Amino acid sequence: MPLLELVELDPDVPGRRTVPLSLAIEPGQCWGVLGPNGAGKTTLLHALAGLRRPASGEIRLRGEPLSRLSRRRIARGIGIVFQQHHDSFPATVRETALMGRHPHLRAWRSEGPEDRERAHRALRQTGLAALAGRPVATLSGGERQRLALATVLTQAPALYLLDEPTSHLDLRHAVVMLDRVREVLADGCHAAMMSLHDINLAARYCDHLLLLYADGSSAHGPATRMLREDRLEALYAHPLHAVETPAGRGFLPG
Amino acid sequence: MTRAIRILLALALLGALVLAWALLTGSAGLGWRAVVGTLAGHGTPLAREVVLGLRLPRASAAFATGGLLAVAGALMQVLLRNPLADPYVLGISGGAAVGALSAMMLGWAGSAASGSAFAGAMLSMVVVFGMARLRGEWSATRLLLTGVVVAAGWGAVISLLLALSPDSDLSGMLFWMMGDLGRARGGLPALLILLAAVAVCLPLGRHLNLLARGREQAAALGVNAGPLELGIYVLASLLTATAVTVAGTVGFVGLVVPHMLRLATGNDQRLLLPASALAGGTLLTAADTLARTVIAPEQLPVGVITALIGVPTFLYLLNRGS
Repeated sequence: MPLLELVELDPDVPGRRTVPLSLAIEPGQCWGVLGPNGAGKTTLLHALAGLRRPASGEIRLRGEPLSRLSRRRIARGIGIVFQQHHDSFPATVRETALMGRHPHLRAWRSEGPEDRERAHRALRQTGLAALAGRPVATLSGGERQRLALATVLTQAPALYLLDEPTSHLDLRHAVVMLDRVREVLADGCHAAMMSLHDINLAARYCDHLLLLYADGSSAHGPATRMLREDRLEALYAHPLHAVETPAGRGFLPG
Repeated sequence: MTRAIRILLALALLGALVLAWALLTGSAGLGWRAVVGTLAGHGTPLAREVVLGLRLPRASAAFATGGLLAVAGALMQVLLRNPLADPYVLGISGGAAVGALSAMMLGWAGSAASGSAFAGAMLSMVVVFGMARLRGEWSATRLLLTGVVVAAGWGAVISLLLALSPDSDLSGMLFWMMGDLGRARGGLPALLILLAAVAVCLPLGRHLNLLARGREQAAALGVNAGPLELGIYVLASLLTATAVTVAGTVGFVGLVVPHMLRLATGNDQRLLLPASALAGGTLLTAADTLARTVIAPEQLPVGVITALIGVPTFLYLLNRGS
């Protein structure tokens, strides 16, 4: 059974008509979402996380429509890393990672040693263990982004949705972050879908791609079939050159 | 969790000491033996009148009001995702003031005046909520702007009422607006409401922690944000309305107490809310005891004392943090 299934979905991108989208995310798959600014990448990911109601169509988590699941059930199946983070109140790095345990705990229960251990492990995986006691407000943009990944790793959902997870990261941390995601997927039970602006990172990490065009249409399929110059030029309305490198095929803007 | 319990025990002890001070202090010149004896049930009629008829009702009303305001302030700060929000920011106090001042103009007293203040607060709550929701989903920003505008509207009505009132009513009205526990008749109902509110909030503490991170982040981690926000709004409004009905609009407690505690102990609502109840009650009881003793037999408005205590403490904590 697919982990997540989109059936004739129109995610209701503001000011835009979208051609209904049907696709299935299977366990073990890593999906990339590519598209120009304003094509609806964020809107789609928020709809898939159940955070906004789609205009039409249905989203099914392991066969069950999201609209019939409680928020808590959804949060145990789907985790999302947002593009922007709001920190109105002071909090430490450790507390922020520990938030991920919320959907797994009953109302009266406090976080136990096992929950703390999970949060600590996630901080180690994202290279933040040394900063555990620091206030979030003192982190750099990239560290904050890694903390968001640590929180969702603590949450440990089946499906990871990541909205431009590498946007504030330097080259090394971008690679490390996506390596972490791939490690999680290695057991074949989890899946990920992430929006990216870097075609080359998408080529390196994603086995499936969804292209969202500015006119509301879309294309999707195995990455090898989507990563063609003509398709990508049409997607970004800009000429591209494909170059063969020792690390695989790369794309440069023309 | 042991740290949380230690902090709450320390605050409870401090609260008990301040309550004892409030019961022992006054112009009647009763020694502590007389006061304790009266509380135990055998005192002179005069001591009984002073301790059980005046000081105990007033101290308990002060404690309850302070606790209510601090808890309401902490909730409003989470609801608006703004550490500078206070219980009055959404206009509840303005509605209550219009209700109370109108009652005074009409010569009502007792429960008619209290009822009028409470009704004004509830009216304000419904108006702000209705306007903020008029076009679909509310947001923290829209709620805040609506509340601020409605509060400004109430402010204008209050000015009008003050301008139209006979001089003989004015000092009572001004005392009401600065907070006045002199006419409070016992704090038991308010204390019970405070206890019930803290009991309701405790199991929701972790949800509130997430909500403080923003509606979307909370929803993504399994919090049903919409109903929770509505619940907080109604609860904080009810607590504020109760406090204002008992004591008028005492300033500063609702802003400073949760903020001070947050700086000192962190932003975990499971600790912050009960700690706010205790610290708010303690602060207002202490302030009211000062208000009725420093220039006795004259009384100061208690709001002046809360500002005098609150502002320097707050500034100190802010600077210590950085």
